[in-house]
Amino acid sequence: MKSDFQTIIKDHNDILYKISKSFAFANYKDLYQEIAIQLWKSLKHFKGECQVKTWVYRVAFNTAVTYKSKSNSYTLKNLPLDFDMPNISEGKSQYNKVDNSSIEKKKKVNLLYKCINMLKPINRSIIILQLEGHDYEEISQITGLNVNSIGVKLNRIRKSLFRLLKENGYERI
Amino acid sequence: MAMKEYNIEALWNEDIAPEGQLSLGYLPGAIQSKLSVFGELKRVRNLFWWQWLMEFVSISLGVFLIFKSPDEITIIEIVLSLIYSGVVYFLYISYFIKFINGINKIPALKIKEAIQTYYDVLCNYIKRIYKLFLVLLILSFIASLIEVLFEHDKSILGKIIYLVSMLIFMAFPYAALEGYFDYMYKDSKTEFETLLRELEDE
Repeated sequence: MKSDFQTIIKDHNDILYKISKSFAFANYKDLYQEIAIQLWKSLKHFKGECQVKTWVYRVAFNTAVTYKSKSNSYTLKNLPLDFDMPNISEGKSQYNKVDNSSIEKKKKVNLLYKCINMLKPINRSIIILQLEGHDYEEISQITGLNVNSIGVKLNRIRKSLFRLLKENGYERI
Repeated sequence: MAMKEYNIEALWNEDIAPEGQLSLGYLPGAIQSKLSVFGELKRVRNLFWWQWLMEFVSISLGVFLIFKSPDEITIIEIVLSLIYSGVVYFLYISYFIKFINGINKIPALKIKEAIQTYYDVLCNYIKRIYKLFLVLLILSFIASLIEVLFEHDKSILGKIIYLVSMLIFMAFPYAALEGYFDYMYKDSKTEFETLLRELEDE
């Protein structure tokens, strides 16, 4: 079971990282751990009735939605866009070797996460799944929402997200 | 006016999880707040500052005494006590820094191992400062011993009686030291031991 768990974490590390950042941008490491713990706890109940990936998504989203982040919307709004980018100003990091456009890109990525954090929890799950390339059917399976409503919802969520990106200075980066 | 669309898919794919950075050894804040052992760690950490407050009072008292009757205290005595206190404070502060660094860098991979490491760091800290206090007690006894041995206006018998009675009275500060450490740190250790037992049973 231990090796199964390690494999699951390894295989889904990227999406767990992204879900954690999308739900608790300022404390994403905490949330990542919470999700990992929940996966470990629920692994013994997983009987293979759905794909491992679907199960991972469900556990991750359930944990993320109920996760009480220590940071509030004020903290989130004021969190700098170079958050989690080591020592840019000191010029000691890996960013030393990269050009300004990479830093800009990273800031834009962080802004995207910040804006996703501002959406309603269920909307965050839907947009994450779409960004991960899942079709309506899969999104419906994972979230439990009606497949016919996914398209309309996604349209609204994307519009909200674009508006948030604009309001939070995406074009000024 | 139509909302401007951004290529969020490209941005999303741009971000990749850092390899190895999100290890399972990192104990989440949400878990920390649920475990009373972390409250105990905080209490032990705060205790350091309370002890410093007491030190500050005793240092102030010493300085006051020097200024009150400067003729009774020689420069050598002041220098010696400064060196003595300096070494003690240096050790005490370095133990505290080691303790803080220890609890901030827990390399364990599982919660139980992490808690065990926290426990070991706490025990080491308590052991170190206990030893320091004990050494201080012994040193103060040796200092009195030397003082008595070089006193000329006391007979040999008088010196022996004085030293024996001092040895007997040493039991009191020693008991006080034991009591102090029990009162201040035993709860913290017990909390950890209980939690570790619970995790063992799970």
